[in-house]
Amino acid sequence: MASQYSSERAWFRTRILTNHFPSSPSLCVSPLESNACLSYSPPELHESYDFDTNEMRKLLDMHNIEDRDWLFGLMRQSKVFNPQEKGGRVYVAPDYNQSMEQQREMTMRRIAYLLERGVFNGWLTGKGLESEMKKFAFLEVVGIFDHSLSVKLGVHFFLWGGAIKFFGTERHHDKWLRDTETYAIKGCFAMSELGHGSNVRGIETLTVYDSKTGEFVINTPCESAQKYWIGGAANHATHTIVFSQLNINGSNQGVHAFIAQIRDADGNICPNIRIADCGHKIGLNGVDNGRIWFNNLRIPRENLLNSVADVSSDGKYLSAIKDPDQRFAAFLAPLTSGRVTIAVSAIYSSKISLATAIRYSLTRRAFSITPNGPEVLLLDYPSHQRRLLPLLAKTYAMSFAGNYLKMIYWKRTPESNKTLHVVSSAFKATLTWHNMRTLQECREACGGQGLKTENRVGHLKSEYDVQTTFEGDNNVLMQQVSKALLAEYVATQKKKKPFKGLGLEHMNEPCPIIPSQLTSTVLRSTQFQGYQLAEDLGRAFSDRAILQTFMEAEATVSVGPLKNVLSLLRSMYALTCMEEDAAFLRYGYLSTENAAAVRKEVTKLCSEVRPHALALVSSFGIPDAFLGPIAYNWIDANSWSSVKH
Amino acid sequence: MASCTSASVKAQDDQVLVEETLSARTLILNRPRQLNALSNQMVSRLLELFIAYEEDPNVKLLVLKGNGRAFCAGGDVSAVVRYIREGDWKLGAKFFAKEYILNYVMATYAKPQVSILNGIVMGGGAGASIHGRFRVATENSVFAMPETALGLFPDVGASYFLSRLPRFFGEYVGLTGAKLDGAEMLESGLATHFVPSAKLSLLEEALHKEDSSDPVTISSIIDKYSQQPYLKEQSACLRLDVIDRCFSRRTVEEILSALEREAMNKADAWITTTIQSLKKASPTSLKISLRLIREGRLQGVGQCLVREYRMVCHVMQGKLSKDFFEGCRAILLDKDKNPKWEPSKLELISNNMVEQYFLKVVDEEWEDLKLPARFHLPGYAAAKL
Repeated sequence: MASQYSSERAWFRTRILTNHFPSSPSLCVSPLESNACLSYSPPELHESYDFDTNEMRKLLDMHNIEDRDWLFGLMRQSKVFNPQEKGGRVYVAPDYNQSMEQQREMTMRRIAYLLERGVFNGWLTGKGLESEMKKFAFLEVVGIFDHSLSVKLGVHFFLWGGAIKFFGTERHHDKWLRDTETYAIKGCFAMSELGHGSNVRGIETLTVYDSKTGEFVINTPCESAQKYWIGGAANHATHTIVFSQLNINGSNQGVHAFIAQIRDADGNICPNIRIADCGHKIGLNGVDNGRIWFNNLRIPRENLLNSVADVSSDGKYLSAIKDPDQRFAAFLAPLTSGRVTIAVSAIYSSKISLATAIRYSLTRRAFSITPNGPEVLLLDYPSHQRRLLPLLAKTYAMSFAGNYLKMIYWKRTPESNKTLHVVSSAFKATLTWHNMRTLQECREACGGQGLKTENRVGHLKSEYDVQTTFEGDNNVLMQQVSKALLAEYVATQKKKKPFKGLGLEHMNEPCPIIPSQLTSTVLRSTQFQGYQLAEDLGRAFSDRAILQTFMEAEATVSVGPLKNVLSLLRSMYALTCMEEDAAFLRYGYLSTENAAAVRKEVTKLCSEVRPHALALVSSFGIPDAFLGPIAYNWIDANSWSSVKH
Repeated sequence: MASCTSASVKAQDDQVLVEETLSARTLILNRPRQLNALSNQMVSRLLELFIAYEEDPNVKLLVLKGNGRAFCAGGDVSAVVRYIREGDWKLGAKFFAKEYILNYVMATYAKPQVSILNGIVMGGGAGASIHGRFRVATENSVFAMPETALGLFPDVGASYFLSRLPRFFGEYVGLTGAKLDGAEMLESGLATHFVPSAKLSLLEEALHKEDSSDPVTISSIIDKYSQQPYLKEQSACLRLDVIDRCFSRRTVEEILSALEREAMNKADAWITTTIQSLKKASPTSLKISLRLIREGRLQGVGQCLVREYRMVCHVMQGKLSKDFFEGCRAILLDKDKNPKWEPSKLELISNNMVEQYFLKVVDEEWEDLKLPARFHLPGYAAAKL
């Protein structure tokens, strides 16, 4: 029996192999016989769309939809963006098999292409909300193509350009902003050092003022003071913002920012500057991170970015803000833009991976329920739904949170700075952690296909990992959130006034009593969900604030299929948070029976969200060229005829 | 409906002639005096035949060609205008729905379609051929999507196939209505082969003898009669860089000013002609066409047709603009070639006005185009260009 079986196998293998060998030139491109084999069936054929995906996309993307599509098209149509045809479809993605040097070069060529077509017009010289919104939209779209490209733009426009705009005054604006926008100069941003990252106030770079020549003198006094991870410094940047302690007549005035030129127009490193490469990284190899040492570098007095403090020509320190703590806070406030764009881009990365994994799970089958019966679609397994759909709901929730964050950033006032700081810190940490977790789950959900770089999901893990620590380590940020909330609590108790702001108003109400029997109706009510998420400080604050943004977005939609599906997702988001956070059980807010009811409800919600899965990922508005072949006809894309001979 | 496959129909007054050979069916568009403009009757007949042949195991290959000096000069616009004048734009809508479904069936067809484009291929004619697998151009081919000059927009799935031409050539062709010859069609990918017209009869004979649906086999047969034509010196295909620089811009206004900047740098007849054709076209048409092509680039052929159907219904309903009626008056009826567009300038058309064309038509009986379920979607369709 066994030998008969193995001889049949051998015959079968031989037949398959013979099919692979071209007997004539025409045979090598003719399709293999596929009668008895699996065939790809596009999910659009069997899945339904119960709501308008364009309307949903408007809700998720919020602004500049047409501009976004233009930029997607601009990239798709250009050779610089490395279009590859696979199974009759064109995909654009960087060639990550290129060397680090080649990837860096390609990033610059892509920037040049986009620059020539006017993508960056108004990024620094534009006025008003409209150009601000467009800039954010474009950065998000670019990030969907490649994280290196968006980080490289982020450093040049948001960090270098932003520092000049916000720390500098008119003389700096006139001199630098237009040249930055046209890439006449290339900027970078030297804040982190080998010895100090999140603790910016501890940096060791030292600047003194020489009143004889009217110059500042910058020095790197020890190895731990070398500037580290400076994006753009290794190859391309001509100028940098230098963060340094400022010492005036022997007294330290704290951290200040200066402009220094580090390369001439031909790309040669300037005198008194030493630069080294940070080397190959686990991701983001299209960004040239470098290290900088300063040896008595002299810069004109005007190069101090003097919005908060200035030094007069005879060497007097002048500042309207006397308290160095406040001065430092005022100084760093504009850097919030980094946390905003990072939080938002993390969610777009999650969308890529979910769109890919869910589309794949709607076309890939595995195992039959009955002998010889048809194999079952991956997403029809409750276990697969349980893995992907709660992450999908969270991604929706965090999309709305990202939109809210952008809104409060754009409409910021001096009074709202504290809220902005707390919310942006909480969301940056929560959204980037969520992204890493989603990427890992999606990569596993695609099986071996998730390992292929061309399918994106697995590779994105190394590209986006950096987000959890740059622009503020997530754990440090979360501690700051908790600290700010505790301070708010103490202050409110002292003043004996109700909570106002930071979304803490619900704390003024008495603690609600949770019914011992949680019915589906109670579990799905916004009131119940809202009360439950307020525990376990930093994280609870974030989870609850995200839910709040979801409910607000939901409220703008009129009754109909779109609202129904949003309400399903909102319930799934809230209940998943409750299920995952042990604090509810730890502090006795949920009984063990209640926790079991929550868990059961999530499973039920999964089966209700399942029919909308395709429509929900289509609503992300990511064009097919920006996903991988695994999201489309993966049989054609892997067929013999599409092998490059 | 499908009792047509057995008997060879050759009646002279038939607008679609059918020739049967071994496994091939040759469909001949037969309204030579109207340059084979697609009438309602022709579209119905073609759709019927295509659906029947797809199921008929004896049919392996379809050849589509035109009688006379045109392949097909477009949809029968004058009939549509007549419907609208008689107060029934919904008859027009029915015509377009059927035409777009035909385009969709062709784009997703299981068997190879060889279109022989030995003459004029415009508008609806492009829709009836470019979606098919093989497009054979000759030295007599003249291709254009002239809709913007008529107050319309490139439809019949053009937002799908134009947007997939190299770089931003699609925007150029769709907005200016520029005419392309056979060599340019081949160069841009609108045609898959170029065969001198003298060899067409040999090619057809060879196709008639073939008993295969395998695209590789069919392609190699056409290859035998093909040759590599020369691009004329003034060809737009040799100006891809300028087209790329200008037509990649975000808005029509920016495209025009980019072209004008190029013209200032260098006097050039081609650029002047291009600017003139944009200035002559309906400003509303230009704006909706650009957005249409841009959206089409990121979508499948079915989505493109559904969107175009919404738009064509808005155009016929005439509530948003009457440019289509004005264009037909000036170009087709009075022939004064001097349409008065309203709004007359690009800057008078807001984003919101453009947006209206992309929304559902508000009318009790109206609904979105319903495409038949097809099984050759969508990678297969995309592979053709």
